[in-house]
Amino acid sequence: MNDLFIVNRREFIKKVSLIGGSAAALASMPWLKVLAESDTKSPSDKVRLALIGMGDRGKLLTQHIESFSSIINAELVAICDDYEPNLKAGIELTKGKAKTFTDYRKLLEEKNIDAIIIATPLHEHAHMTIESFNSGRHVFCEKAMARTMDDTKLMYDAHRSSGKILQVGHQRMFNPVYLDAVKKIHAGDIGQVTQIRAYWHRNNDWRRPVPSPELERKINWRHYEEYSAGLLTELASHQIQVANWIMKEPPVSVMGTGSINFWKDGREVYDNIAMIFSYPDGTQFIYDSVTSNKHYGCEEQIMGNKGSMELETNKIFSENPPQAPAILQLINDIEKDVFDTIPIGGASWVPETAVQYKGNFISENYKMDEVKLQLEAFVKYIRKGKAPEILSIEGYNSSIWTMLAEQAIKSGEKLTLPDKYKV
Amino acid sequence: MGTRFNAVFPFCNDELGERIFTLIKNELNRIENKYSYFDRNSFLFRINKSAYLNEFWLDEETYDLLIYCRDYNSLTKGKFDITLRPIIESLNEEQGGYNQFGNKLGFKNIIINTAKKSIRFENELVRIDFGAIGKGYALQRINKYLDEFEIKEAFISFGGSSLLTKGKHPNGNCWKVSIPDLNNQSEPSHVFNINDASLSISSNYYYGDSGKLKYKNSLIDPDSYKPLKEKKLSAVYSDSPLEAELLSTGIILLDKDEIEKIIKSKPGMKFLTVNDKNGVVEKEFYE
Repeated sequence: MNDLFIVNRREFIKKVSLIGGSAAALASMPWLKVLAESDTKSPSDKVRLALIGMGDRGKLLTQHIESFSSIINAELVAICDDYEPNLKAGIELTKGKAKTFTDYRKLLEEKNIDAIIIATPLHEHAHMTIESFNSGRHVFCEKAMARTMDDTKLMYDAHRSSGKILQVGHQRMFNPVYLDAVKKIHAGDIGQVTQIRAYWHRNNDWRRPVPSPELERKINWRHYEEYSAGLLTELASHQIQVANWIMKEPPVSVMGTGSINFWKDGREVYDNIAMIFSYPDGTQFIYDSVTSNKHYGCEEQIMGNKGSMELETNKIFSENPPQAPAILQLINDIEKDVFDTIPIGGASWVPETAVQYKGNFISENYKMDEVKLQLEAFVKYIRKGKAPEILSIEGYNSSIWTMLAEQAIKSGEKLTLPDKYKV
Repeated sequence: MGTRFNAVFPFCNDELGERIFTLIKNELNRIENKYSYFDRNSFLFRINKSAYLNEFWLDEETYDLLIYCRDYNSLTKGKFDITLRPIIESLNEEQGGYNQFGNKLGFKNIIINTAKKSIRFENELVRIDFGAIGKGYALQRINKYLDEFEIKEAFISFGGSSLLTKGKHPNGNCWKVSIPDLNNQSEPSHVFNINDASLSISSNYYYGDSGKLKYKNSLIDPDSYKPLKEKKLSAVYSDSPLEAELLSTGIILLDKDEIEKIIKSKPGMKFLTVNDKNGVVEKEFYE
């Protein structure tokens, strides 16, 4: 637990309070309200968590929980993984305090657990989540929700029928930059949103070392269709959620294409994809992801008739930027705690100064870990026994449209969502 | 001086900032009024009008400035020269042009009487123009105000090409200033890290606010009397803003050997020169 996080957490909660001060903002982001509520230290209020899946994501979540469990008054009481090295790592991270399991069904038989965090490979999410609901537990499930559209719907229906919380790991909904950005977009700061573009590009094989050949499919599950839709479920689902959040509704259709054009290493899932999602007002969301070039990295570009935003890099650009001499850029940098170069003109007699327009920051430039914040929110929802339904719906729509996009790519058709999957 | 002046005092309260800025503004107006080449009421205009016909007695400030210019004219082998303005003016004339000046311009045509602190022009065509040093001189004067008010951190830009800094950027250990590449605006040609020092840039090309590269014919080669056509840029880092200004104009016309001789005599200074000969860019850094 470091001081920086405590300071930034206070700042964030203050910011949440400010967002809460706006009725319109609060109505569109009701999941934030709980963060502005006071902490409780009562032992009777302690939330007991269990985590299934101690792979990379599970380890990260464990580290976060262990680092601020006393602040949020929660405890990781049990962990589970059926792969010994992962479980061993979990034991080390929890310093042996958490009870360990290799079978999640045995873990669910434990009495003193309030909620389950699921960070297993995608194909295991659905049955684990549904069985957790059946055992009376709330669930935080990493995205995407499930491997198939039917499983995704079953998960959502189980959440509704059980009355238990289903929070899906879309951490951008707790990221201060994204919160500020969406608030500003909905307030009209960039005018009417007319197009969204997003991409996530990497240049690696996305392959984990395998100690023995029979473990290939278990460890590199992201490469096999039985377990994952690859780039779609593991990366694109995050950005589909952001687009839906901005547009305030899911798309009406999707078309796309994909192939394996570089990593011909036995993988079954695409190593490059491109898709277009259409929204009811005619706005298009254009998406692509590749694994053989990382130059453009990861970004969501929101384009309106008055401006643009780049959310990953916290930038807003006006369509008609004011003349921005270097000196204004310098003042902006000083105010935002940025240390950058000051571009100057060139000729000593020239009365104008040439400056590249680099845009402005959307939000204050402080670092805040959104994963921690979403975990803190989950704990507070558990204490209340309920969470804003929009959290579950955002997760559902992101996942169901991710799965539909996979079908669109495979069929080569422009697809709409069948009524039975609409919530 | 026909340009933009900006000053940033990161840790200065509003009252003190306004007070200093008012003093700076008054000083800039004073220098402008006194040394404007075009204002018929300026002291310089009177010098230019009278110094050929009569010996002209200078005040202390102008005399010191003129001696400074003479010394740097000598140091730069005549490349820095404050008497070439008439050539620029003639470029717009339909007749005559620079051919009319023969050998009548150049600092050697200003006769200085050091005992009496007076000057006389050798011929009727000589004119003094402080345009190439005005901003550097103003920054030198401003620097004294900043010291008097104990301003430890400041970034002052005159026309985006003459800079004076105090201390460091509040979020860093210096002030980082990028010099534009004349063939690619998106990439800096060089970045200077400046602490308690000045930087002056000269070039015959510049990026306008539209982002397009533009040519200015204000750099005159004192040997040929012709405006420089080759794409050139120079930048000089110095403790003294006046010295930086003078040398950035001077070294842009000098060859490498001459520049190296100068830098050896100026410890602590840094020079950058960029020459573009038909698309082949030669960049030299001296320190």
